[in-house]
Amino acid sequence: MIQYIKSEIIKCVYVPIIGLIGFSVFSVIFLVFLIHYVDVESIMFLGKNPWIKLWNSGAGFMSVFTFVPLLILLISAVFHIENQNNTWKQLFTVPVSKRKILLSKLSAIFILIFTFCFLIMISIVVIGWYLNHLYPESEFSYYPLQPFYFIKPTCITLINALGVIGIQFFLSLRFRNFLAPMTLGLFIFIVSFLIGVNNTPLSHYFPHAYTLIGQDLQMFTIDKIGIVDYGLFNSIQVYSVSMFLFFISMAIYLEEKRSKN
Amino acid sequence: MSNSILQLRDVSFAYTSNEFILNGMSMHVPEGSIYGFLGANGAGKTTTFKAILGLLKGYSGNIDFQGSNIRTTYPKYLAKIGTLIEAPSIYDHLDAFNNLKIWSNYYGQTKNRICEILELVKLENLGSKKAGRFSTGMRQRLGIAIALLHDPNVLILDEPTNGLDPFGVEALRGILFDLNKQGKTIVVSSHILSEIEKTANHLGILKDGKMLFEGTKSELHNLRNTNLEVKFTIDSSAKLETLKDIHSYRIISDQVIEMHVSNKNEIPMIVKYLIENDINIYAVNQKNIALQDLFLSINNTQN
Repeated sequence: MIQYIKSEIIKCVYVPIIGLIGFSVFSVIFLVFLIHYVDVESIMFLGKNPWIKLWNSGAGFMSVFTFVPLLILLISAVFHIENQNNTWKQLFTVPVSKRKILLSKLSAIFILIFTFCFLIMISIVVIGWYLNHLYPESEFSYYPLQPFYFIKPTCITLINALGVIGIQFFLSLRFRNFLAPMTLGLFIFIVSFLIGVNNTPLSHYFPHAYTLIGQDLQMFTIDKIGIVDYGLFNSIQVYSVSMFLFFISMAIYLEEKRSKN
Repeated sequence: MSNSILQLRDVSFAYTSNEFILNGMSMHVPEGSIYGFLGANGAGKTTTFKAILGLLKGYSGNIDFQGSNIRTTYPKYLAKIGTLIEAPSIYDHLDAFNNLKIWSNYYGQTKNRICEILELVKLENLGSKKAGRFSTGMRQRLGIAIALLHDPNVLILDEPTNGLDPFGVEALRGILFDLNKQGKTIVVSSHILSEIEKTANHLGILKDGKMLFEGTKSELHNLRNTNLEVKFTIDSSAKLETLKDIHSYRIISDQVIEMHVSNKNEIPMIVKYLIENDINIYAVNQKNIALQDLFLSINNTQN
């Protein structure tokens, strides 16, 4: 399976995919830097670690504005590589089951997502150092990095986004083109975003809004949505994981049953 | 054909209940042969290949590869088959090496094998040139390289000469002959009949999802030799009054007659008759027995 994932990674060394990740990282980092550059006093509280504020901002911007659109475009693009090069037929004539091929593609998508998160993390550190250079009074150099404040919300965002990953994976595999799943995904995201920011229980029915409402990112109120906390997980995360499993299973099942490739 | 490496028995496939792409099709590919699979566009060649490669579900009948039904051995049996279906499957944004690297991971092949194959298809010195900038011939060779990467027993090539110039066709033919000498069975489809004629030693002719003829090239030639159109150029057809007593003929012009003979041995008898009746013969033309003509005549017979 590792060999198959390596193949998928080689395929993903593709300018639009690299550009997409690069642009997404840049847009998050640019927003984080701009906000703290303009309002540097927001991170300067006596006795408080400025890194925490910076990590939270990075995780917040990433979860709200970038993560879902990136997933939609990224997954569509990963499948588009096969569509554009007309390689599906050859891919399904290797002595490997379709299930393994598709799961290795899914694994490659996760590797790309982790890469994106890792690049954001590194970039936030660079921003912190740079802000410290511009404003020594911000005291970034006096406090430990404490990246857990980024890793934890990012992991929760990733769990909240699993439903979107499943849906987009399903759409991209079924449509076998770039425009239809991408347009559909982005349309659902815009609708979900508008519903998600309105603090309404209706958001439960829109997995594309889960990254906004699945945790308190201190960007908008989510108290009226009716999220049930089960301790380790909440209802949003349970729905997200369930949708992921359902759509991935359906995608693989239908592909194995597809009458003609 | 007891040594068939690949056998299709009564295979039928339809997208809708009355639109059969394959209609009771049977096929036997002898081990070690170059099997030319002839058929007009839409005859069902690619569909046949897709069925063999497990890309088609819901067909009836049986397909055996090395004696085992492919339904039970899917996808393991594919490790012994190399394919080039329709256009070569190439990732345009990658160079030749990385294209092969992708497929080598699925087949468990080494870097050395990739270099070996690149040398075989003469693509070893391209550096990091992206496949999207390759010529048609180079793409076709890379497609062949992908098919050969895992050293398969059987190569299935769907119209491999499409888009190639005569030099490319010649080079490809050379590669196929070399591979066949190494013991590989090659199934090659085409509607370019002259190409198949030069390459294959066994033939299958497909029309409307049915196999019209299957056998060796000489069997096909023999078949055609028993059903010939012969044209005689003589001094005057006016002298032919008694010829119709021994053989029917058509007058094409004052000096040209054409007749249908069921066996080529009849031709000397007719020539002898003409000479004995003081008819000067300027030319005797037997219609071209190239495969193209055979192919058309077999198709026409069925009509």
